[in-house]
Amino acid sequence: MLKKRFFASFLLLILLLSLTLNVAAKTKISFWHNWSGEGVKAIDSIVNQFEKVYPDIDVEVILTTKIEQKLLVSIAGGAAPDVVLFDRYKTGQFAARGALTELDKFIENSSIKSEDFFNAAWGETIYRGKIYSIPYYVDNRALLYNKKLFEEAGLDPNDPPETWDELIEYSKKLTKYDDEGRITQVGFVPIWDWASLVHYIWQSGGTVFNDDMTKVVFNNEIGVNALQWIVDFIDMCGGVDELISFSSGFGAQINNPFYIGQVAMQSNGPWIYRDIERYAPGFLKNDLRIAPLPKNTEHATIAGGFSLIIPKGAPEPEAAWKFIQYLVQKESQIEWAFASGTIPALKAAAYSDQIMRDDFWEAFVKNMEYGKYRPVHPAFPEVESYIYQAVDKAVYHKMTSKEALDWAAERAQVILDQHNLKIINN
Amino acid sequence: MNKGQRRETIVFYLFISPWIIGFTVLTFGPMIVSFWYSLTEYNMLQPPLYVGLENYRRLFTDDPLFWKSLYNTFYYVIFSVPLSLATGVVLAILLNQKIKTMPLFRTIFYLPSIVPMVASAFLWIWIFNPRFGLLNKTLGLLGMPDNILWLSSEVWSKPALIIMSLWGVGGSMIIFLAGLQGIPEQLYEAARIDGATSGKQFRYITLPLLTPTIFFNLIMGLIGAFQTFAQVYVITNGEGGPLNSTLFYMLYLYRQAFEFFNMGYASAMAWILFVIIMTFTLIQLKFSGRWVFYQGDIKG
Repeated sequence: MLKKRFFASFLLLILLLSLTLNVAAKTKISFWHNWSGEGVKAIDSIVNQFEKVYPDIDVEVILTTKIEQKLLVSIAGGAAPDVVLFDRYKTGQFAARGALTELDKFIENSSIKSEDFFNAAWGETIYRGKIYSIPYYVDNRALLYNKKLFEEAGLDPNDPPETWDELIEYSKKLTKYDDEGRITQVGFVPIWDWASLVHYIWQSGGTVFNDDMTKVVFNNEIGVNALQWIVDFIDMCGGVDELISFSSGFGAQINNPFYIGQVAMQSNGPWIYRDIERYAPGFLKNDLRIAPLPKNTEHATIAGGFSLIIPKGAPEPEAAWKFIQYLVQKESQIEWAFASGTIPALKAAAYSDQIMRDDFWEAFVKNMEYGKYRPVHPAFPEVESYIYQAVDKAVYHKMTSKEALDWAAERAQVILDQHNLKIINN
Repeated sequence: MNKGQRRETIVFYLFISPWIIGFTVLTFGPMIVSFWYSLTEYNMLQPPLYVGLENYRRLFTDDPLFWKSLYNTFYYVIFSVPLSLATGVVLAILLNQKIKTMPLFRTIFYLPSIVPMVASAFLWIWIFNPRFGLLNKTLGLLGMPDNILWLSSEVWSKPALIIMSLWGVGGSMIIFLAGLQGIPEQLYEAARIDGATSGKQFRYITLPLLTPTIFFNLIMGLIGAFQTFAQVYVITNGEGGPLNSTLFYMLYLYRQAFEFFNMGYASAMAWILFVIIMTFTLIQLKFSGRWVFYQGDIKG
């Protein structure tokens, strides 16, 4: 009898225990990112470590593409994820629509400090005075050039072009034509490889908007001169049609025009490392050189990259915040960046020996010094699309540089005003 | 209505209910909602803000890209639709000959239209490549200019897309083929006895009796061509370049909706396109009596 009662109470105990365990069930958070390859492995490894440190939190990693559209739909449908690796440049657009959780309160009670991150990255997380994301990794653009072609052209590879004038000078010497006058090798093309007019405006000390982002100013004298410089440069190469024709012959992978010497200098970012390492290791080791982009009045480069955000309506913002903090620790930052081939947003991680492992990475980390970010304003993507159109119109000689920029500025001002009006009304 | 009739009515509605429900919930409902959105500022996250006809006013008076995209689309429609019809008819006539290997030829000519649009767009990017493309190489062999930039040229990008649209002519070709085979053989026999040449047979028998098929393909072709999207999206990387020369209406609508998140504005664009297509279809229907000839109309 006693035995039976003992057995029964033992069963009851087990039942109770399992119930309490269920009550203390794990918090589940979901994390979206759009990486592939080595980056995925690094993320999985960091998530495992995190789950060991926080056994009560379970992270579900979801790999997806077209994140912006999906995020929008998921928030609208009340099924938002908890943490998303998000294109930092879109922060303003999404914050303005109330899609992101303000992080100021979280940051106050944590050890995260703005000065630990690259300025250009942190600045881009702020929309109307509030912080909406934590930078995860950064990138920038530098002048990559081919040492061998420099030597062939009688140029000193240790003395890369420092100014716009020198860039033209060098490019002339590095451009070759065949007997029929068709390009066979080009020095530099200012509108290729992710370069936008915004770059050149910055390098001339100008801006896209005025300080309080109420007026479009990219069509001022600085902007017009920058665009005219681009137009003249392209005409010097033989015109936009000839460049298109030349580039239509470009190959990919091992036949990339830059690796095989069809293009001597280009503006590009650190993401090309993996490809060069894979398809042209000899070129990477012997002939690739990196310098800051030449200046008109100052050095400047777009600094992009991704941030971590908590969408509005995320089910577990507290756990999400713990996860974000873990992801931007120095060790996690180094592990991620080394594996994925990116630059950590945390300066201490970026300047570590492991990240500055060779000349390539050292150059790009140091180049962050010149990093600038695009205006954090919901109108900017649409405004930028008009800037691109203006450049097109000018290099095709449909309009003068001034006409093209005035045309774009008029449209951009309308768009900017509409957004600003909406912001005031909200 | 007696019992049997009522029963039949109920069964009828039951049978078509999947379509009725599907149409109401998935097509008609969203259409009404999108009309409401077209009168608002809406970004999917904040509640729509009623602005009246402001989106329409901006489209018509304040947006050069709207007119540009409309121009591009009309240019494409005006050339590609008749050209596709003509090509479809010619191919169908060729494939209606009585040759042993005909099933093989029919398959070959139909095949391109089942290749997914994205895949064939990539194929055509290669065909149009200025330096190594099949088209420029062929032109060169024929002694014609072989340095046309095609998709990268403001002038040639639309003609290139029109040429490319002929690639998908297989669908309408099959319908023409069916139309041709529906023409009674005895009409040709009678014509031959009367001494009609094959040209006259085509002009007075084939063409008139094919008009219902032509009419059908014309309307479907117009509706499809106005909504061209996938191939330009793939070819121009979603931008509609160079110089906006391939910024088609649907592409601009997509950019407004999913790149700039102006859902209200994009909804207004969708409704304008709806009205345009509707108008064209109604005009077609109105004038179809003048040239479309149905066999059932033969009297006495």
